[in-house]
Amino acid sequence: MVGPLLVVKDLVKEFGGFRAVDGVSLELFPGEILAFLGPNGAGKTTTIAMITTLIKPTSGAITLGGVDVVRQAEAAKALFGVVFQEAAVDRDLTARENLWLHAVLYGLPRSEREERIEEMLRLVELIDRRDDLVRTFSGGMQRRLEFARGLMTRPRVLFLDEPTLGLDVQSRERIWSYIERIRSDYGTAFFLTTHYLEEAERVDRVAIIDHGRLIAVDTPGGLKASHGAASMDEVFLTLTGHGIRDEQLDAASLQRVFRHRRKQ
Amino acid sequence: MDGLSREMAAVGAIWWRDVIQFLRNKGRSASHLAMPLMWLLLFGVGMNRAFRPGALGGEISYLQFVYPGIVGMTILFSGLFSAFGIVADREFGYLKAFLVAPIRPSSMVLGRILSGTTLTALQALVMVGLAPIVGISLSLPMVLQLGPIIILFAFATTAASVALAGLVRSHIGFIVANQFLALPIFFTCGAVFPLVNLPAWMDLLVMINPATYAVGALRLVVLTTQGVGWPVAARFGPFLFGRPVGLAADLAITVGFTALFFALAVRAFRA
Ligand SMILES: Nc1ncnc2c1ncn2[C@@H]1O[C@H](COP(=O)(O)OP(=O)(O)OP(=O)(O)O)[C@@H](O)[C@H]1O
Ligand SMILES: [Mg+2]
Repeated sequence: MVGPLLVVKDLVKEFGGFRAVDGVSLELFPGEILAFLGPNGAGKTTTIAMITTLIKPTSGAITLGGVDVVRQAEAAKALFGVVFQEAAVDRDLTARENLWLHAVLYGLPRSEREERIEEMLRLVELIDRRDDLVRTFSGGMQRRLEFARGLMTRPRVLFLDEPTLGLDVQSRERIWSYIERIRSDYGTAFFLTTHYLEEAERVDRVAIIDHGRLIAVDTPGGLKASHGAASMDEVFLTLTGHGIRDEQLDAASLQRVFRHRRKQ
Repeated sequence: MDGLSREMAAVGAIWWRDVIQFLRNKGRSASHLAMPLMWLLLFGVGMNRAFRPGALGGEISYLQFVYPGIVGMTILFSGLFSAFGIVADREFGYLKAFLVAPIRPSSMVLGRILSGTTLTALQALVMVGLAPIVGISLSLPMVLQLGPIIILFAFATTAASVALAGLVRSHIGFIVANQFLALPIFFTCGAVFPLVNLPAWMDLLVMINPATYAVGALRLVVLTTQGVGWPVAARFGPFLFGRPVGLAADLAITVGFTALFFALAVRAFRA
C-alpha cells in the first residue's frame, strides 16, 4: 500500500485564547476523496488555511508529499490546488485571462498553457464563454471556473471548501462528475468540506470535526454501520447533537477556552 | 522554466493584470489622466494669484516654483493610494489566490509595485507634457532628467503603499491611513512653500520626510533647465547641515528610502 500523501499531526490553531483547531491528526492518501464535515465554526476552514499555508499553526506538523508545509511553504504550494469558501476569481478578467494568470503564477510552460486552458474550460463547460468577463457569470459558473483553475496545474491534491455551496442540484452533480473524472484520469486526491451530507455518501472516507476536535474518521458505510444509522445525516446528528452552534456558543466556546487555559 | 524566469513571468503577469484592469475601467483611466490638468489649473494658476510678484526673490515666478511641487504631489497622492487594489483583492477574497501560488512574496510585491509605478509615473509624465500651460517651456534635457526621478519617486510611494496595504486589513483603514499620511507629508516636503525660516520642529519633519528630497530633485531639474542658476534654484531647500542639498544627494537619499519601503512591503507580505 502506498503511503499517505498528506499527514496532519496534532494540529492546533489558537485565536487569542480560543482554540479554533484543537489537536487534529489526519491522513489523506493519493487519489482519495475525503469529506471533512462539521457544524458551522467547527474549524474546517481554519484547518484548510493552515494546510494551504495561509496561516501558521500554533503547533503541530503538516507534511504534504514529503514536504514540510510550515517550513517549506513554497515547495508545498506547487503540490496542491485550492478552491476557497468565498469566491476568489477576478471578476474584471475573462475566464481565459483568469486561467492564464494562474498558469503563469504556477510556472506552466508557455507551450502548454493554451492547451491546458482549453482543456480545463472544456471540462467545466465554459469554453463558449471563455472571452466573457467573469462578472457576467452566474455563481455556479464562477465556481466551475475556480474549480478549473484549481485543477489546471495538475495538483496532487485539491482542497475544496464547500465547493457546492449555493449551487443547484444540476451544478452540484456537475462538480461531482468533474471530481470523479479527474480522480480517475489523474489520480488526484480531494479534501473537501460540505454541509450537504448526501454528498458525503459518495466519498471514500469521512472525517467529522466538532469544536476543533476530530470526533470520527471512517468510510461512510463504516460510520453508518457503527451508529446504526440509515444516512449520513443521522450519523452527523448523533455525533454532533441537535443544537445550533451559535446558540450553544456560550457553553461550547467557554469550554474550548477553558480546556486550553487549564493546560497552561 | 527555471526559478528566476518563472518569478519574472509571475511579476509580469501581475503587472499585466493591474494595467489591463486600469485600461478596461474607462472612468478610472480617464479621470486618472485628466487629474494632472485639473491640478495644474486649479492649484498652479490659483496659487499664483495669491502670491505677489517677487515674493520668491524676483528671479523666478511662483508658478515656476510650484510646478515641480505639483508634479511631486501628484506622484505622492497617486502612488500612496496605488495599492488600494491589494486591499480590494483581500476584501473580495482574491488575494488568497496569490498567497497560495508557488511564487516568492517578493515577486507578488514587485509585480504590484511595478504596476502602481507605471500608472503613477504615467500621470506625472502627462503633467510634464502639460508644463507649457503654466509657462514652463518643455525641453529635452528637462524631460530626460525628470523621467528617471519621476519613476524613482513613483516606485518609492507605491512601495510604501504596498507596505501599508500589508498592514491595514480593511479598505476603510487604508483610506484613513492614506489621508492621515499624505497631507502631512505633502505640506512638509517643500512642494508649496520654500523650506526656509521654518520653526525647528517643522525643520525636523521636513528632514525626515522621504518626499522632501524627491521634490527637491524635481525642482532643481525644472529650475536649472529653465536657465535659473544653481544658487537661486537651491535657495528653497531642502537643507542638510545648513547647506542646500544637491541633485546627487537628493537622489541618493530617495534611493535609500525606496529600498527601505520595498523591504517593508516584502516583509508585510511574507507569511
Ligand atoms: N481570524 C480569526 N480570528 C478569530 N477567530 C477566528 C478566526 N478565524 C476563525 N475563527 C473562529 O474559529 C472557529 C472556526 O472557524 P472556521 O471558519 O474554521 O469554521 P468552519 O468549520 O469552516 O465553519 P463553516 O462551516 O461555518 O464555514 C470559529 O469559531 C471562528 O469564529
Ligand atoms: Mg468554513
